Amino acid sequence: MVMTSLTWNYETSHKLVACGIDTERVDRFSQYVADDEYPMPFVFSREEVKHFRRLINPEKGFCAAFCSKEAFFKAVSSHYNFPECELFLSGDNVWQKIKLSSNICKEFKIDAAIARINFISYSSYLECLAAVYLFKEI
Amino acid sequence: MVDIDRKTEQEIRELIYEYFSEECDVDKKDITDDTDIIEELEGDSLMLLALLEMVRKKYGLGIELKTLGNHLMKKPADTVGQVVELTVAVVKYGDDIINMEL
Repeated sequence: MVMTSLTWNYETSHKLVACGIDTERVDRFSQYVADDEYPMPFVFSREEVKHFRRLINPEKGFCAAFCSKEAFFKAVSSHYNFPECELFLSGDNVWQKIKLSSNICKEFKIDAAIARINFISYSSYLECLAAVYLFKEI
Repeated sequence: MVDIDRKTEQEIRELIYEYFSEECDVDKKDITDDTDIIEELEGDSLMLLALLEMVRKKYGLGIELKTLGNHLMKKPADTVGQVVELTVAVVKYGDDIINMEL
């Protein structure tokens, strides 16, 4: 893992227990940007949707959160419970903490999750790559 | 449980065939119940979730993804026909789908 202050902090106090990755094209989320309704309630929480719609590029927020959720559930090899695992995108190419419900932490015996979000630009589209790392306190 | 007649079942089947045809840019005539969504149509989980969103809106469903995830672990939906069956069951049973022996 590339060392940054966030990952370094986790690596000194937590044990890495699993990781997962996922990638999606950002333009697949354009349909959820319009603010006339609450899209995909079984995927995004209301707070996430509010946050994404305040971003300059809301579709990036939707896409990063979706990829992080998919990567998270790939890492735990379990069924999806997306709304209990939230990501509030704060910028491009960043490390971010994933907000987990206490149920999820208990169910998968983890204490924290962080995601590395990268946006990769191709000639005709933008892609998001999320790598998610799950930790247990030492 | 919601009663579903043959017409609604047919409507769901049409909706799903139409959806995969458009999303995967494949002629509807080339899709059958045995068509594998990932292998043959190059579909993915987001496509399935978007389909669920469409069905949720159309039929006013409140099913939770966790319930669906639990159900899919017992009974995976890899082909178009299995997605049709799953969707009919979701519309019919909602969150009770998990208690049904389907």
